[in-house]
Amino acid sequence: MLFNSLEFFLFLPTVFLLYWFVFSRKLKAQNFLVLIGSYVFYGWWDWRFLSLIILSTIVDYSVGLKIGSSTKKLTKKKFLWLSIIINLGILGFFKYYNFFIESWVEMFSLLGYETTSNWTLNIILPVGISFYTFQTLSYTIDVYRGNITPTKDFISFAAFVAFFPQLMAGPIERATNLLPQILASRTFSYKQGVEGLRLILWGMFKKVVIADSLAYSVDTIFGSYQEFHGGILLLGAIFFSIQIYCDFSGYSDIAIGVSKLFGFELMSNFRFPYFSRNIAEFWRRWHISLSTWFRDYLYIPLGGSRGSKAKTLKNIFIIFIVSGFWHGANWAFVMWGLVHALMYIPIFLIGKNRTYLSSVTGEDRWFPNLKEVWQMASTYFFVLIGWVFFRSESIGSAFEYLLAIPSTFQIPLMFKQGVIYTMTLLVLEWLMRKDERSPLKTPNQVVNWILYSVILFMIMIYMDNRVPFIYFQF
Amino acid sequence: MKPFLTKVVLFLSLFALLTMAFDVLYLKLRMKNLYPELYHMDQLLEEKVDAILFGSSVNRHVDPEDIDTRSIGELVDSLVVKYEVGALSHKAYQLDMFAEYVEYISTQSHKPLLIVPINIRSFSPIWDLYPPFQFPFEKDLINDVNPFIRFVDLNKSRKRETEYFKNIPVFHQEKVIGKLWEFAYPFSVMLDTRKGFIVRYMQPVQQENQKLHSLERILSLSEKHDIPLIFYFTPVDYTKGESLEIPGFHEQLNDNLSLVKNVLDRYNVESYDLSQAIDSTHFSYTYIPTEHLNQKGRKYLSTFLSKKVSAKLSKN
Repeated sequence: MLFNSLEFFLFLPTVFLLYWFVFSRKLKAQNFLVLIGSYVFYGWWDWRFLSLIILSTIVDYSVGLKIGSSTKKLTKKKFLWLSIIINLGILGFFKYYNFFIESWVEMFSLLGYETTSNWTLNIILPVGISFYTFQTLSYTIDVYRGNITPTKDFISFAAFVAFFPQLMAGPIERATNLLPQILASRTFSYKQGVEGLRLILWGMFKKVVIADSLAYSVDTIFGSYQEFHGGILLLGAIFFSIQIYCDFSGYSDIAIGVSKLFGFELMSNFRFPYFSRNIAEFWRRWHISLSTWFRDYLYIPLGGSRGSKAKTLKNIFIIFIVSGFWHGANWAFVMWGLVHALMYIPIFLIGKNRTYLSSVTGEDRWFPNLKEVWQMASTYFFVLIGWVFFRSESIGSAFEYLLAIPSTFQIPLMFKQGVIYTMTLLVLEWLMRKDERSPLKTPNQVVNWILYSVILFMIMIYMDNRVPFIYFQF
Repeated sequence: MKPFLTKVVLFLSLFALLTMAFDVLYLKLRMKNLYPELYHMDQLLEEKVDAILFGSSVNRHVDPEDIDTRSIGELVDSLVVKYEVGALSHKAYQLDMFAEYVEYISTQSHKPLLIVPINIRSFSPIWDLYPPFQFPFEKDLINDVNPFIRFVDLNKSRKRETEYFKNIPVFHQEKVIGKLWEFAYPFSVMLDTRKGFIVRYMQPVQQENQKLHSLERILSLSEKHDIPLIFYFTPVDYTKGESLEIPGFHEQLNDNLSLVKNVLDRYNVESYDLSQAIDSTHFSYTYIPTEHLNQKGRKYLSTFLSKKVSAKLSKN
């Protein structure tokens, strides 16, 4: 089920009313409703793939209990590996099997061996598999590390794995944050409810009005990049950067907002990444739930920055490349990860990767100063290069695209609407940049209602529920 | 919970009322500019014209070398001296929209003679199913649908190239040769005249085609409400099609025409097949076969139609 669909507009109030009015007295009943609602939400797309979620749930529930009850470290480790192998095995089969077969075939043919790819299979990629696999893995790893006590409540655990607001595209929640909330009783909070609706509204606006409007221009430009001059290609890359941000952060905002309506607080996934002053800050503001997941469950276990510089550099390369690969079975995604690693390493080497940890660009000022403008523009420029690799069909076409920008540059006179959408988004985000969890909030109630009405009005005009979220494919 | 729900319901009710009021007021003020065709139809009916000539972009002047830039509507009106002939055209109108107008006219006291073009290329999925050519909002307006529903329907008119549309298979007669995306959108492909002819004329028209249903609707409405009609098949640049040596070009074009003619025959309505009446020298377009006519083509078509219109009106 898509957030931007009529079905969801009926589903959400139904589950909300049942949750607070019919099932509110018993926590178990409420969690059971969340679980059933989540399965309906996911099964709406393809009920057959519910079996994969249920399998992951059963495996990690059992493994969690086994790790918790075992006193031997080796036994705990064996069970942890069992969970990792099964979860990553399912993910690997559905997401990467064909890619590896095709890559092998290509490699052999490059070496001069005649071979065909008869081994490839007609596999459908289950929606959200990368997200819920990482979420449920975080549980077994945290149980193994002793960060969380394994739960015996199967329904609650299953609701944690399949929690519908963030099941399809995150934020990838940690068991340490979400599971205790599921296990504790909830009461409705007016403030939380209003914040939730505001986030839903803002997320919808970003998705429906900005991202979907830019999608057409982006498809046209990237689909026929050979036909356009450099100015248009530059616009195409900028539009895509805004499209993917609005699409993905829009989903996250809706997910966080819907969760608030049910009394849950999910982690923030985006904090205005395009106002970052260097690439390290960008990665603290972009897809936070994934980058922190890789930090905690891959980078730190690999040694993080505790060893030599060479070892740290190797670890940085690994997490960026794995992060690219996580997005899809395509070398262009790996290249995207590599581009970011290459941008991050100089920052790391000069010791600037831990700057701007908490401050906001242009804090306490209406406008950024010149230094900040330069920092934001240069960071954005490098991020843009990465996005061209991310969006292109292949690494070769990404290089062609990038090289054509300076060599055929002319002032773009087409796609003016896209420029308006981009500017609108950037101006609104700049005004709200201090708190990603309170968009569209002014001190005046009347202004707030006018603002909500205008945003809702635009969503209704632009609504096109057949455009799915980009991150569903990952 | 109670204050929360109360505020949500209050906000949504206010919002619904405001949007409806805005919608009605906005349309009242802007109808003439936003939907000039709908406004024009009311004008024509008010003026009690004797005939209305429906049309698409084919009606209009497009060739920069034309000296006479009058549209087919204007030409027919000048040639039919004894009667008043009005024209209603939009660059993407086709049978679906004509059916809506016929339905609207059926509710009016004055029922003029309607001249309805049948563009055989509009039966191709590239036009038949093209999202921006579905006109849901205009259809709602013509049918006076509730403003709130009409407002919600607006989103449909904004539907762009969706995955569904882009992935519709393209046939060369019975054989699938690709998807619409590969035949329509990349700019390099749009410059391929041969592909343009294949995607517009080589798709076998199926019984469930939207345009066939609209044709049936027009015919039954006309029969029920006694609305006089003349149909004609718009000229296709068939000599160009032949010169491109597309296998089965004539056969498929004729098969598609026959299917449509069978529907017309069932109602015994006046119709003329001009699909293969004029050669390439009457057309003006760049690459994509749009059936756009130069002044020579428009003169031929308007002369032909004016004779038929005069004859029909004088009989009535």
